[in-house]
Amino acid sequence: MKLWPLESAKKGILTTGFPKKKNETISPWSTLPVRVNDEEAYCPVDAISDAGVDINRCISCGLCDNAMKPSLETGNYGVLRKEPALKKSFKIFLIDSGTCGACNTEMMSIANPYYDVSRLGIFFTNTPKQADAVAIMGVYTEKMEPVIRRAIEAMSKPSVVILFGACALSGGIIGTGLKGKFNPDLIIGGCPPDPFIIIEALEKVRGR
Amino acid sequence: MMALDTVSGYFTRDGRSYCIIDSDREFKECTDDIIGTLDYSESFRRIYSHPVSGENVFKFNYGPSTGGMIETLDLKIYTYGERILSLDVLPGYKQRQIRIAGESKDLALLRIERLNGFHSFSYSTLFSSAVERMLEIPVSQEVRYARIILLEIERITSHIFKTARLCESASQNIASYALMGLRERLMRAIAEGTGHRYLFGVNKIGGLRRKIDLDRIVKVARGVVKEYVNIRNGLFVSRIFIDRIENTCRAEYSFARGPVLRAAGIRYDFRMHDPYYSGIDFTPVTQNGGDSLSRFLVFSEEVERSMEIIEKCMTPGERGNFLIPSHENEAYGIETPSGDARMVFSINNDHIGHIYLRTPSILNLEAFARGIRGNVKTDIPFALESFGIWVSELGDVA
Amino acid sequence: MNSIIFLFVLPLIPLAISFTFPKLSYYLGVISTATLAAISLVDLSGYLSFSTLTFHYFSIGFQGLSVIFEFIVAVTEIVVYVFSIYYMPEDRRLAFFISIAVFTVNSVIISRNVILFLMFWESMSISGYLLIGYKNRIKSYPPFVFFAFGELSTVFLTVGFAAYFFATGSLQIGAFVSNPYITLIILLGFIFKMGIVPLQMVEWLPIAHGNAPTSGSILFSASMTTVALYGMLVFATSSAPDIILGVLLIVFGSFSLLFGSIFAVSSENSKMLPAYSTVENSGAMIMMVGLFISWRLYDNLPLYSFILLGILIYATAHAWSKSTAFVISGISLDPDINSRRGVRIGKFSKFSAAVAAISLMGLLPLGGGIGEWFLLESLFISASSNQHVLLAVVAILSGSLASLGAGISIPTFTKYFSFMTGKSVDEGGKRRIGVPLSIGGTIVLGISLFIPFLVYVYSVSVSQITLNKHSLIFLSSLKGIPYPFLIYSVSQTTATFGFISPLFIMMFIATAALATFSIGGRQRRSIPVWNGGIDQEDEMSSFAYANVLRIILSKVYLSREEKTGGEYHERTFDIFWIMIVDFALIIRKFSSRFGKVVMNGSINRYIAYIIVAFLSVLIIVSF
Repeated sequence: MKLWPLESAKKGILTTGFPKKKNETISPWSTLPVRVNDEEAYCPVDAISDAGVDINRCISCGLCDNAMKPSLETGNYGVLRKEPALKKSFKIFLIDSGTCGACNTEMMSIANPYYDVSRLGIFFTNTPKQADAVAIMGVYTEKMEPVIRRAIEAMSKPSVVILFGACALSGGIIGTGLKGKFNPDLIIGGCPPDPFIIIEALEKVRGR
Repeated sequence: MMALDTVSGYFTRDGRSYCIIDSDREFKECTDDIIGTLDYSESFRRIYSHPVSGENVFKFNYGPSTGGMIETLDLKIYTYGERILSLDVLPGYKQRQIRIAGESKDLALLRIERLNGFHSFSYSTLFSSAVERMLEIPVSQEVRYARIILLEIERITSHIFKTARLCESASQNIASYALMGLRERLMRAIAEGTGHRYLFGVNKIGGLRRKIDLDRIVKVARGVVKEYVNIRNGLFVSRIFIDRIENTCRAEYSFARGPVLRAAGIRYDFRMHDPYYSGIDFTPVTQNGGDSLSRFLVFSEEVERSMEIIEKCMTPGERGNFLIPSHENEAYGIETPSGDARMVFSINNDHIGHIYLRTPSILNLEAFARGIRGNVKTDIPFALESFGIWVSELGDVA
Repeated sequence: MNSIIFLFVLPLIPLAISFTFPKLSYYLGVISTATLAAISLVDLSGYLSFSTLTFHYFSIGFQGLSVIFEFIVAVTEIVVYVFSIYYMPEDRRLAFFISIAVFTVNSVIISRNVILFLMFWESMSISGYLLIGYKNRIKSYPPFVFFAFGELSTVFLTVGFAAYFFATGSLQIGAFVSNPYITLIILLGFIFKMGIVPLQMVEWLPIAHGNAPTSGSILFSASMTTVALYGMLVFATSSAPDIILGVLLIVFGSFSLLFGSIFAVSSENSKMLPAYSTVENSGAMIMMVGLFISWRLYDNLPLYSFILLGILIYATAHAWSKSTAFVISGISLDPDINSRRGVRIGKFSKFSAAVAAISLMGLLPLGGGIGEWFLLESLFISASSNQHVLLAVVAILSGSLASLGAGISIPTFTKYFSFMTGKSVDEGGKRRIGVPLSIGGTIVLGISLFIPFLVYVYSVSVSQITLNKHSLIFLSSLKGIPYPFLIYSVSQTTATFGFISPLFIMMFIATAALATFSIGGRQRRSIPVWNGGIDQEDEMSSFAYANVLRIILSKVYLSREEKTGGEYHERTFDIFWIMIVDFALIIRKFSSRFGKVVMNGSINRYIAYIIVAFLSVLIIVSF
């Protein structure tokens, strides 16, 4: 007989204090790279320009490592519209338009004991009818477009549309993105985005 | 006339049909009526249709976008309430086109990596090593062992994830969270050691792109596996858990791949005769039930086996560059955490000519659709998880 | 001339013209039954009374339980007649059989003499047989099965009444019976007629599958069952109480309740489902009769008065709700709940259907809920007894079965209501069931609105029946709730055990609904069903709705999956019916063997048989 609660208690608290405290770790290449020298940097998706690295395009491949290094900053997202009404509770419905599976599991991992976003009032829901936000992941696929539209319509207002990951933003290296099809309120870059980046972005879009 | 039982892939390009045989590195032209004699041949076209009819029978729709499943997948359940009489699987909602033919090797590698992000290192290794063998590019022994270690690490994370989902579906929530925590611990170590949580951009043709801190990853992995075994032992004494997963979704089909096949008692693991694993003493894990419990047992034992392989690779004997051998004229393959994937391709002037990739999910989804019959609707999520099916793998690679 | 003859003659008026002017007879039926109901109500209120009419050995009378049950039954008959106006109004034979059934039912209630009682009881069975079998084109066996087992009831009653006569020396109803076995035989006779477990199929299957008209089903389910309960109560109140008898009825009733509700939830036949529900409700009433008998033995007057009041309220709510529920089944001629598409009905009719369904679920504040409260309250009080351990243990065990059964009735009637009224096609208003449905629903709603009145008049009658000098009225007031809008129950020692106020609950629901509407009534958001993001194709069937129970209770339903010619079927069986059929087959086998060996046409054997029989008669007589 295993006493599960006791075993769990023995482990102590694993959960991060983020975003109040600093993040303990981060997946290096999921953050935006910054320049370290003037060498020409190769980028398979042309994300690098003089202005910096485009968060819509960067696929976290690290091929530019001769000239750039990961910034290790959590700012790899953009809030286009804040929705402070959702400060207290934020329910997210995930839609997979055409992912490789990494975005799905990274998004879900923010609920694991290390991040435990329910402490911040963020939850996942099984139907868009109960959702405050849809997080759309993956590249554009023809058959999923009407599904996503329905989901956005089915949400009660106010609501937030999140485009999640490089594939959804620009199509990454696989296909075309969804930015032209839907109007996002929040974009989260990375391939896939790191959980800390996701948490910070979700907090910011709610005006917290 | 080809031996049909070794056919593991079938596709149409430019109006002509080809089939893939595990023991052949070339495309074989083939006709529909030959391949039609295989009872699982429809699955090569991503058609998993098993309609039935009867009094009060109706189609219950589950998916494409709903809670409970990780990826987009539509299931049409033929039922008259709760019991699944039969099942249609429609994976086509999320049909990605992954263009590889005509691209450069490096770009192709980046795309292959994103075929299945969860098992990306398996596919990138399959692709890089296949290119290395075809173009006779030697790689160092360290690279080979590092790749094996990372492959096994990926298997461990994948199996932990599947076990966790199984626990979640069987309402063992504490165990599920504990396992998810373990996976996160290992993922963080992977990110710190390799620069990416999903090992994107780690492989390159002819070696590894970045310096890998293997010691750090393996140190964490040792702790994780130890704790995993502890949790598994705790689950074994839970009557509720065993009762829930025992006898659900029994699949004993020889066309299935990976842990699904091994759980049905068939001793087949590509690592057994993979030249990449030569010199590593390896015996596959098998179970006889074919049900979710057997698959759970296979996962948990394979985690330990993987750790043993990692330990062996941490102290490699010989050093230096060498050409990794391959079986004469056999389709390139690798044992991904869900089963063996096979690849046939050609290279023209540094660019990929044609390519066909048969992933384990293509076959396992058919095994799932058949095995789930007679179970009840609530069995679907964890049966699907225990098959290790990734819809992303069903995308079209061409 | 005694005025009671008027009550006897009143139901004969529609009967007289039924064969010539069927539709007119229905209108007259409405008037006559409404008059009967009104007379009963006035009598209950104490402004009217009838003296017993005696003619040689025979007598008819109208007092005590008769009045209450005449009131209950007459109201259900109003619904029957109103329904008949719209349902096959030109069928002469149907009109005749309905009128004769109504007449016999009423006559049983006003009989004060066991012979007359038995006579009308038997006529009631025959009229039931006629209602089931009056169409030639149907299978021949259902009416015979019904009739044969109906006779079982008559046999028990005949034997019981004979013993009654020998024990009391009286043919009048209401004589004191001290022998509990005689009471048991008589009560069993009534119980068989209620069609409870394990005899539910022989009673109800013919009704459902024998093409009995819906108006007939209402008469069986609401009126005749209530009359059987009346018979039970008449003899239970006048005979010596006995603990074994009481416990037997409680156990018997609780099994009936549980199995009735289990079979009801999985039923896919629009008449079988409410019929099984009647089995369930009959079980509840039999349980309460058992409790009543037990507490009479322990001489706890307030408590058994409360239980008797509960039986009466339960019977009222059940009869009226059930007749309305059967009216719903007239929505389409297709008996399959799953495939039917009924006529479109209006908003109020739908509301009425919902009222009847919710009442049968046993939910407050509707009548069925109040009845359920009486049942569970009686069981709780009995269970808390520390003096009578046997009764307490039985009350706890059977009470848990009863609660389980009562819980199952919620999905049963959710399914019944939603699948019966959910899908509709326009059939050109051929069967306008809106009017009878609305009347029925209004009557059911009336129970909740006038419950203080009902409790008051029933309590007065109960005091008379139990020979209590002080009227015990179970009405009270509490803090905000004014008298008489609170019903209370009594415990064994202290004054009050529990209470409910249907009015308060109604007010609460109304206030909450109004508040919600006034705050957010304007902001309405209608969103389509989320079916994974795609259009809906198939719909959940009513079969699927209850199938989870078929799987869980596969041992009870004997459910099995069959695949014939590529087509799937799932079959369930009534375990008790299978047992009866098997038993019948064994008997048939035995009879044919017996016939071959003994009655094989050999004249010598017959002579031998006659001689043996004659000798044994001589021996018996000489002793």
